[in-house]
Amino acid sequence: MLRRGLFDVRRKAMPLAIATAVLAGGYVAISATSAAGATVAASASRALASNGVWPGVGKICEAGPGGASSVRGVGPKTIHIAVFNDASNTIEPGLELEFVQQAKAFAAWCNASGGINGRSIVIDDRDAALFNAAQVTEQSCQSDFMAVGGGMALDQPAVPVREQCGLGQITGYTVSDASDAATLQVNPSNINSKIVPAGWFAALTKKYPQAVKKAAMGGQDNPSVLEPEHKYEFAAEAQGWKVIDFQEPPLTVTDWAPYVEDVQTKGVEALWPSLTDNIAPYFLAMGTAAYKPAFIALGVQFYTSTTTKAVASVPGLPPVYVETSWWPLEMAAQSPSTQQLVNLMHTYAKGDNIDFDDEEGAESWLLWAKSASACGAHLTVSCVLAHAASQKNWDAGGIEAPVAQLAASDANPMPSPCFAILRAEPNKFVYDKSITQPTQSIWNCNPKGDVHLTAQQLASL
Amino acid sequence: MHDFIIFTIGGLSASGIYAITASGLTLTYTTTGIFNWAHGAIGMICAFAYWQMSIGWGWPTVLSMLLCLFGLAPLIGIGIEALAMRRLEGVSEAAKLVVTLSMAIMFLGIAQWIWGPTTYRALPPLFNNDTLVLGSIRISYDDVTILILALVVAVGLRLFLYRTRMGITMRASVDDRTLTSLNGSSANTNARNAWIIGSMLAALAGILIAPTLSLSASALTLLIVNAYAASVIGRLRSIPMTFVGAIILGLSIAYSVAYLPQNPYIQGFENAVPAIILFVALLVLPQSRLRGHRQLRSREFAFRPTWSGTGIFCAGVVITGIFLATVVSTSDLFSLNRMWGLAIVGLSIIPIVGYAGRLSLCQLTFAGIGASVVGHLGAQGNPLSLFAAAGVCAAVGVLVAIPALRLSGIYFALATAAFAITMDNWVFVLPTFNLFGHPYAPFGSGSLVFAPFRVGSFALTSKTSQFIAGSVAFAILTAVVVAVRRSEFGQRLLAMKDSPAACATLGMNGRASMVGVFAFSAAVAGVGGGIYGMALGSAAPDVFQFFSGLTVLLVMVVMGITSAGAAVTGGLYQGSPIFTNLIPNLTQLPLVLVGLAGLGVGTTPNGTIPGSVRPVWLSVLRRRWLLGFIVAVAAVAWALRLAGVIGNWTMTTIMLVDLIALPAPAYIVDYRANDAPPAFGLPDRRSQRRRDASPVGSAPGGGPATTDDQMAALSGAGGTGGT
Repeated sequence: MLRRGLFDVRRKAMPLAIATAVLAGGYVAISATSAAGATVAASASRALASNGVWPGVGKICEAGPGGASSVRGVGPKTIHIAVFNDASNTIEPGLELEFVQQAKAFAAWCNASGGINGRSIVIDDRDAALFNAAQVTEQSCQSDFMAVGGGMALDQPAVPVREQCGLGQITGYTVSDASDAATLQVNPSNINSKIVPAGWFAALTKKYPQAVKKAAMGGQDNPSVLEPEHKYEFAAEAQGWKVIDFQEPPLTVTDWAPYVEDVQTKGVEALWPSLTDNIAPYFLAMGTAAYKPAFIALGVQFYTSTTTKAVASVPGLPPVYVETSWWPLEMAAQSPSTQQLVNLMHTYAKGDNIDFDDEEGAESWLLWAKSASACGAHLTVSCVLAHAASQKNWDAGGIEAPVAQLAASDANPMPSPCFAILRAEPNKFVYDKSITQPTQSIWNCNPKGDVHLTAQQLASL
Repeated sequence: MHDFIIFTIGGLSASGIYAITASGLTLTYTTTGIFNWAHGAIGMICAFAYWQMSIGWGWPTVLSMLLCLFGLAPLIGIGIEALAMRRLEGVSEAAKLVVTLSMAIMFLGIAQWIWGPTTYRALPPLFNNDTLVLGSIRISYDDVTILILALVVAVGLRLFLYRTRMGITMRASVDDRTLTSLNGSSANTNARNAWIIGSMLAALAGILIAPTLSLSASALTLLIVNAYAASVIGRLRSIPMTFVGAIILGLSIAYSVAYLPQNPYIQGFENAVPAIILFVALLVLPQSRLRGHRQLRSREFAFRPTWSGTGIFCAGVVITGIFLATVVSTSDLFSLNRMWGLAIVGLSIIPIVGYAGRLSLCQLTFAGIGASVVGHLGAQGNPLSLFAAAGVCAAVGVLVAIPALRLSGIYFALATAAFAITMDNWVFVLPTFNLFGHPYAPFGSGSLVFAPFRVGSFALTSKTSQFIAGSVAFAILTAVVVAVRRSEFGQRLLAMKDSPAACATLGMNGRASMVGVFAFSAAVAGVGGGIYGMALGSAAPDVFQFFSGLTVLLVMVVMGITSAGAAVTGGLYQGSPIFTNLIPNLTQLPLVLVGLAGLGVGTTPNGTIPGSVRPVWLSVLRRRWLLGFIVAVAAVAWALRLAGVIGNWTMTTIMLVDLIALPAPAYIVDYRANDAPPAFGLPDRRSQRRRDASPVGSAPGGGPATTDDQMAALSGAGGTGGT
């Protein structure tokens, strides 16, 4: 029987062994390729002063006595901070991983400067993998002081858990309405689910008054994607657009030709195609159909090299605009705060792509660090949140568009109406001053840019 | 008119890729008898490999393409045939589905492991987006190439299957393997060739579609679902008709995008068009002949559970629930709570797949419907909403079952898949509409919030109480399923699974029973969905997607499709945080492991629990002293843990040793004495008399069904009343 058993084991072990060998070999091969890429980035690191001073924000990290504390997560020499993300989920792996990378880089820099009044920041990676938001929040409630700079895609179940255990949060990334307006939270962009900052629609109306009367928008056929896109539809119409077509394609579209032809035959001149994360196949289909509307406008999630590469690959596209409320990385040299962030990521997060996600994380960290350092040795959640909510003209030193008055998330915060418009050109983004018509630095801060949604509109979502 | 032509051309360009994918699928089915759910996954691996070669390592495009198509793809085909498919001879439809599904999941895991999804990878189009212009018609050279290739593939395959010796022998092998071997053809060679060609077609489709789908592993794998409709229009047999089917599919999608009115309720319908075409195509298929008793390689058995055994099992489930609730940390309990909802969904699979033998792939969809009902009706925490969920799901089950009654085997499975995908893409994502005067959106705007159940002033607010309540609900539903199994209805189901022809001869009304069991399964799944929703706190429609439902089915088949213990295991596997806690950095590992486990289904087609676990525990049950000792050790370990003397790791180690290592010697002793049924694929050493007498065991080459089942079915069917 033992021989038979062994034979059986061998039968099953063989395929397992082959599979493992193939996997190992493949993994080694691929790692070798990517390792080569990392060394190139390392050589480009620039000088980064470890003096705890962040340009435009002030001295936020410095040595100090620390001190014993009875507050959860605060020790004599350490502060435990949770960074929520969904990186290990299997549907869209790597989601929000940039927040963790950025957090670790910031913590490394701050600790090298002495920490927060002598207490080092310890990053706790709280990975919810999409479906475990409540669980990781509960885990965080055991040992973390606050949550900073992260976010989860399905964050609604986590809200009551976090509120109940008193885990304060300063985060830039909230998804559900419940999370937008939660207690014990300050958002450095003053996200408010009833107010849509969308001033760029008005700017485009000014430049293309006829074209915006025939506009098309849309979003992937998924309620959590469609809700913000419908909010943008309301905002656009409030600022002079007339949306004559709203598409809702599925996740797997093999050929964009029918969707492009749909807007082409309707005579659409203003296109806001938030239909897919990867815009390249859509542009290719436009090129094939020789469809050239007056302009294409994209949200800030398209502020990536993918977009500029797509523009490069399809000649003859109309102007492609991307809106942003974070300082363009191409102009980092003109913003010391943004340049510091770039240097920070080059020094402490070699090989990572630097994009607006890092700016989104940094604005939370800078707000938290500034507030926490102001609290001194007696570090509590209410102190930090009070300092954070009292900030006026908060712009993270210049990384984000200025917010006139920060407020707690449950106190009806007013988001910033400021925006800038970039043009996506082949392999680069260019700031477009003539369309933006800036009123403050590079930003257009016309207060009409904030669109207040009506109760009827909110109910229809 | 001009617009119409433009949309027609657009639809035709889209149909090329469906044609190639569907042709490969049809070819595999015609030449191997297996509907390959991993077809898209094979294409995906080859697409990634092609990217790695042509862009990652910078090799010439043509060389990379040739290497992938004529090197990697055939290797994958050979590997699949040798390692997985060879053992699927004479195995049930459910097992075949599970094996190919496991392959798909495993490939997905491997692709995400090797090519981390955080990096963006793009494949440029083949012809630089050059466009062919004919008057006002514009079509890219890429699309022209795909169309021409699709035509070449269709014509070539047709000629291959009917005019070449290899093709004819492949078709003969599926028809009658023994006769083909007698005529001098090697069955293994035929199978291998079939899988090689199938993989090459999958690779071709994957490489061609990758530029548009941006090398996303899950999208490439799911593409196959849209192509099913084209294959079914070709009756899973005729390649030219598959080509026509692909054209119908492509044109339908284009026209629905173009001509459907701009209405938020209709727009999701566009995305459900491939699934709806699939459903309609299945309905107009000619009815298949009633088959007789199928000669399966190993006998499938479904125990007649005793009430005492069921009672012990239910008590054990509740005790385990209390046990886990007391030892698991609060934060882990948050996600462990999900296991009962998923376990109940697994339980709902047992009547329809295990007893009635109909492959239903939409159980998790019914759970979604149930969750939607509970989320809305139970907004104040009313537990009666669970009954409402059961009722609504049963009604929907009847509606779905009636048109699908005439289908069997893979066609029935595809019909349920079409239903599930339609719900996912259209119904679950509907915005708010008026239902009986109340505003209602199936999943709110994104996610639905659930209130904890309450009866009067007693509310299940703590996770501990929710967990124990979940275990009680599971125990009650297990008792209900057992009651069905032991009733005349259950015996009728088993008889119909075994031989529909015999049942028809005896005058049994199969249709009513089939609708009944489908409605019952749907109702149980609906209750599971409601409990799952409450455990989650808030549920988005993504939670109830078609592919997640396939994973539940997979675990059930691997562990034992007729065993309630399998349902518990399924719930534990998907609901518990074991993998995320133990190996947080290797998130793809559970996927790969599940895939590997599914591949082994061929050896134990009855599942691990009836095939391996039960025989071992029978040896324990014979020795009361051993049983008592094992229970005592477990109880002592629990008590020590509760008293804080030992930690969770120590207790788990003691429990594992207690439950796994202690029964083993008892089983080995019995096996050596030729007194034990075989487990873990070991050969049966018992005498024939012992095998017939024992209700446990698998007899190669088929054997009589359980004697009491046979008698009960005959007397029940004859209308004289069961014993």
